[in-house]
Amino acid sequence: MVMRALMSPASTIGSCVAGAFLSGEGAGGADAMSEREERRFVELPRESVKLMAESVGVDLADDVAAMLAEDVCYRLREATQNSSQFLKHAKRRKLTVEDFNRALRWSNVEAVCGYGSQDVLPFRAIKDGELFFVEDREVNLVELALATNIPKGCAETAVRVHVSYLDGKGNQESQGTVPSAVSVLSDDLLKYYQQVTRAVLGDDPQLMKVALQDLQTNSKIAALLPYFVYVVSGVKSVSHDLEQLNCLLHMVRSLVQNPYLYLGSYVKSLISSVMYCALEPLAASINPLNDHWTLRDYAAILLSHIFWTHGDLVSGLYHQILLSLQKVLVDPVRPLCSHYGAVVALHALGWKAVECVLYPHLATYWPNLQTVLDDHSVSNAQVKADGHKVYGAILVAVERLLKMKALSQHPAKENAQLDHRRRESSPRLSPLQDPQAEFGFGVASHLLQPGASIASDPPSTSLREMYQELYDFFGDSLSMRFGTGLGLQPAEKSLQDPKPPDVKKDPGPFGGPGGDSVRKMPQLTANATVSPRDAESPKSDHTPGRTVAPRSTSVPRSRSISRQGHRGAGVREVFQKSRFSPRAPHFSFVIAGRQMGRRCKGRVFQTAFPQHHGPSHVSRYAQKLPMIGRTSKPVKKWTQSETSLYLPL
Amino acid sequence: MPVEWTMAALPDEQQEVVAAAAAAAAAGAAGPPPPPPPSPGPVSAVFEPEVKSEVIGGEDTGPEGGAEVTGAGDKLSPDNAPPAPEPPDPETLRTVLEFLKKSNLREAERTLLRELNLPEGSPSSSLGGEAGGAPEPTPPPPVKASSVNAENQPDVSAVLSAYTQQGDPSKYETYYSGLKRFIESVLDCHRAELSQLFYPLFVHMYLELVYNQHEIEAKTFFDKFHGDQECYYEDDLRVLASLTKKEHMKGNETMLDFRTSKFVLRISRDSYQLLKRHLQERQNNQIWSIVQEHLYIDIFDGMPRSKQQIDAMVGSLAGEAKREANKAKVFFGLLKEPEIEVPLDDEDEEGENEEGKPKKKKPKKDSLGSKSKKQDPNAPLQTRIPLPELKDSDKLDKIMNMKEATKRVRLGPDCLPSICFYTFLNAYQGLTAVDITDDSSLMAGGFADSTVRVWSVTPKKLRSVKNAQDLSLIDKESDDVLERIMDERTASELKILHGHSGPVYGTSFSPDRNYLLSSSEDGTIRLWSLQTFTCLVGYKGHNYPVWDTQFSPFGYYFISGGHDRVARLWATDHYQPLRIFAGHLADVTCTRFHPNCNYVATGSTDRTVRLWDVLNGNCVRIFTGHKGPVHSLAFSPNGKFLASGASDGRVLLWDIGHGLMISELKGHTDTVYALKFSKDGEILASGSMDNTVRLWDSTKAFEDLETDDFTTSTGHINLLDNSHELLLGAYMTKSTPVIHLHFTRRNLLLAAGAYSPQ
Repeated sequence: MVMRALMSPASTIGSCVAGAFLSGEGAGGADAMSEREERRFVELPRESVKLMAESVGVDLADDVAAMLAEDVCYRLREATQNSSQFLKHAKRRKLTVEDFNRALRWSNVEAVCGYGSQDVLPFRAIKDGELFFVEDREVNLVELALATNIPKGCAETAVRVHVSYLDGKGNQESQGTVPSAVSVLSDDLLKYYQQVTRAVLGDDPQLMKVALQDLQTNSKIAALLPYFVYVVSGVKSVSHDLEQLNCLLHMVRSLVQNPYLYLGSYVKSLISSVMYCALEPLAASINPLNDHWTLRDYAAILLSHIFWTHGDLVSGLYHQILLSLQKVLVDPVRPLCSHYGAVVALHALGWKAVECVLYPHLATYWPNLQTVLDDHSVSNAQVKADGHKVYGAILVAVERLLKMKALSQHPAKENAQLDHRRRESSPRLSPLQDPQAEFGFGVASHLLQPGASIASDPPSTSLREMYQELYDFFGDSLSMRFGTGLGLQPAEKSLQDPKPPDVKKDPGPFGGPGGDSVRKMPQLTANATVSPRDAESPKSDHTPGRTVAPRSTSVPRSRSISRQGHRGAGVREVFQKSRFSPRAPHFSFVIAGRQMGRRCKGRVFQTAFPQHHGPSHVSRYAQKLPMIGRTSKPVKKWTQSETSLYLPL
Repeated sequence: MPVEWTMAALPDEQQEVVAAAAAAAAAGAAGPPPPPPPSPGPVSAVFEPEVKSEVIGGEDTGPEGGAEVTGAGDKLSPDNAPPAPEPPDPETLRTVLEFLKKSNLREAERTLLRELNLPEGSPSSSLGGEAGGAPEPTPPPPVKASSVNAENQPDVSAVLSAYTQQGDPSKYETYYSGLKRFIESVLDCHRAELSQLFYPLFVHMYLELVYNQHEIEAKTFFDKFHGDQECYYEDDLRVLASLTKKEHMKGNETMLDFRTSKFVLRISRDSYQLLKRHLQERQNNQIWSIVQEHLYIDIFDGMPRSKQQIDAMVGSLAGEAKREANKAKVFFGLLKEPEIEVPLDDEDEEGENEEGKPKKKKPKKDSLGSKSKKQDPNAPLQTRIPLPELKDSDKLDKIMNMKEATKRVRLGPDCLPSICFYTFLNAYQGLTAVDITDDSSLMAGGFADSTVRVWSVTPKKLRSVKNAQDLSLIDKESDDVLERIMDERTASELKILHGHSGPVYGTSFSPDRNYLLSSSEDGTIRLWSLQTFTCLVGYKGHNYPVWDTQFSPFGYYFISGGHDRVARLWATDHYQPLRIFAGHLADVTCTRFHPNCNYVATGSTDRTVRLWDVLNGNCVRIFTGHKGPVHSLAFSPNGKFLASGASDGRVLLWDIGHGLMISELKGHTDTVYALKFSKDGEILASGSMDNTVRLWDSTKAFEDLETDDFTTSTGHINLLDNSHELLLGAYMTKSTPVIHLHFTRRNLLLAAGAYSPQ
């Protein structure tokens, strides 16, 4: 049901004229003194009057129309003059439509409805004819009514009291006004600024802590915000000094967490500083002894924090961030530490981001990484270590992706995780509404092919397919295990999948203990095989132009074909070469699944075993890799869930 | 309508009459929602007082001492005309008679004619030519724009008919520029005075041209000369510029103002002679006739005034006030404080022991004694206006007030008050009015969404009384019965009062904090109970937006003013107004009671401030000098002075007794919406749209006052341009326009406004 605001043409035009007149009047009042000669009133042409008369079926003579036009102008002027009374008594500065309507009402004229919006009405022109009109968009009431994100009402009117001036003394300067960069700071603020920056960038950790704490809670530093943002933007000049970078990031964090600061457009500046720390090949990272990885991790978390808390201040921010991360990721010239930064940043931004950017790109990225990791020469040692870092980061990211994807496709029972997921998926609703408007796709247009784009809807890869592909890359390093439906699915796959040998092997590990694992994970299996519903599926259902195939068993096939299509054969070559030639039948040394016990309520469990078998080609990397800071956490949690480990051996 | 006539003539029968009138009014109100312009309501309201003044002039005997409030109120004759027993303005009468005839109100017509000793039948013709200096007819209520009814307004055509005389339209420019040349060539001392002629002549000549349908000539005339006019006439000129057709004149209020009220000029005899000679020499009849018919020249003997002297006083819609308009005696002194036995020795000692008891007692006794013994010679009789008797709770409050007063900070240039700002946050609906109780415990906000919100600004929550059923269960003998009747469940910091159907433009607490008044765009004033937080009465009468209302300092009475250009005096137990103060030529924007309750001051969009006598409804002072609509008023606590603030950002101080302007306080850059004197009157605080609170040294301003006899008799003032000396401080708010100011009993300044980021 789509409704339009109904309005008679006469009143529409009348109010247009009124609006135009109002603005003219306002301007006239301001500089009336100086421009007395310029006093001009809006005049309604007689053509308009004739037109309106025609629209109601009256034919007017020219002279009548002219008279009427003149009279209408006069009445409008009169109503406007009357409306200024209401403005003055409402103690406002801006004349509103409401004021004008009141004036009309007291003159026994019907009020003009439909223009009460606070926003400026977009006034459009048609190029061909000289026709101007107020854009009147259609409002989908159903969508409005059923929208889940019901806007919060505005806050309750309240009175707050504060002592402004004690004994007539006090800061006589204007307070709380919007600071401009050139505004002169009061002495107090200047002193504060100096002290805080000195403390934050100084050596005394205690002092720094106090300063940061104050930055986080002080309500009176709005005027200093541009200065602090400027300080933070100094990251580029101290890229050799990890300590300083760290301090600056802490400063960002404090500023972001200060509830009294309105960051506004400074968000962009802060984000670019933070992204610099996460993504750039810092001077400090030349020395392998410097732990710039932690800095990048921190920056990534901070980035996501800023985005989650202040992302709504800049439209299209999400898209912008993803694009720049993607740019870093696809750039093979960039050092691995940059790639690492991009991956952790994506990970921090949530699994959707990983799915949108990292996952589609993985296939092209993999060979490069593979090469690095396979090079055992001494000269390569450092690069290889970096490569391991990246590998680990990717692994963590995709595992999270798999897990969230599984949860999202599955009527989740755990409320906590549900909430988490909701949080994860929400950003796409607001900031990404019109990505095209924000960016010209000149640079990144090649990225926007169906599979690899960061369009508003992520590539709808089925979980199983995704898992299989990831398993191709990581093998048993993936700490997630899904039964992929042994009875039916592999057989089907073997028929349909064009990748003959290796893919078919993938479900292999489950072959042995397969029966059991299936029994243990009925839910996952069922959901993975039957139609995997995208989280946003209702939305994507009615987005035209995007192929929405009925999710049947034929989907995997068509998708893999299409992906192969644009991935190119060369890539495929690399894969096959690098992939597990002497694949030992590796039974899992990591077991993960879902507990089906009564008390456990389907909690995900996982357990790791010391390796008994000769390591597979792939998993070799996994053992060598050190766990990366934060990433060890979920594993630990799972391993701690001690109950009922299922041992397949 | 006939009913109301009877009511005037037969005050004794008022009870039934009021009921009948109410029924009539109700019938009128039940008609088509916005009544057509000549509806009985507003018209009768306006015409009533002045016609009565003719009918029963001199009947007024004043109140009988000690009479109960209602009775005395009835005795007060609603006489609104100037006191001089002048013959009635024939034009007004003719208009009234025509109206009555047309409305088929024969009885009223007969009564009026009988009172005038005129034969029935042809009244209009028998009323002769104009009587010079007669009281000006009151303009009808704002005549609405819809042209449908324009033809039906006899008064308007009568008013306009004066313009029918034909002159040569092309000569108008010559006339005007000839006069201009003459004025520019006269001696400097006369030039300033004669320059006052420019504006009214310009307007009248333009209107004549328009009325006689010389559109093109009118336009060129306007374009040529409007630049010569003083900048403070800018607003009126804008209205004038939009008026280009004869048809439009009929509905235009500003035009009617010009015609119906003579523009008053004060010119010295020498200058006037000069002008007269010039006009007669040149045979400039066009201008001379305008001067004769449409201007009132108040000639005085003596030195011509200087440009500064003139500029200070002009600016209002209808020129300066006539000198005799401000000659009436005003009893501006305060009433004697009632004797209250102050229990001196109960709580004070417990609270503050460091000060010796005898020391504390002495000043208190003195202050009390001096007040009660000395009768202010300028004070009105204690019983001039019947006031409600003090209740026990009022006495308690007075005692509290006195106690607080002893702890009051003595303010002065060296000891400025601390300022607390009450910021209304999230007031998206638009804060339009604020009031704070005298003891600073409650705050009321009127909002554009037609709600009134009452906040408790102390930790004490607002509670309403229990419902009837629960009340019946209460032990009425218990000591804490007053506490028991309150319903604890309703305790909250904020109560919202719903009832109005338009923005609330004025709020006022009763002195005893039991009631709240609110006036709204919907044309009503509502009385709310702060015990039950419900609406008790809706006072209808204004029929147009009511811009302001205020309780009298003694409660019971209240005053309101609105778009219908009149101020009304009400009593809370009467649903009809007791007095209608008509005379302003434009909306009454603000209304204030004099501290002694015998007078009310009104500020208006016609850029004048008027002082009215509550007893007889007379206008006793007209203060001109503002160059923009007056939006705030404040009486000094001693009742001698009045401060008024206008949209031009200036605050003017007036000496009520002498009827003179004392000082001009320049500093604000936007409309002054709030004015308040400190409790002892040493400091005047002003709050404005320009987001500042300014403090002025009123003591100094009052001391500098030179009241020599010459000034008093002529009304010529010499203002010192000493705003910067009087300004004690300007305090910025945080993007918050100041719309209310209040001094607590201890002289802490409270300011209020809604945060409005740019």
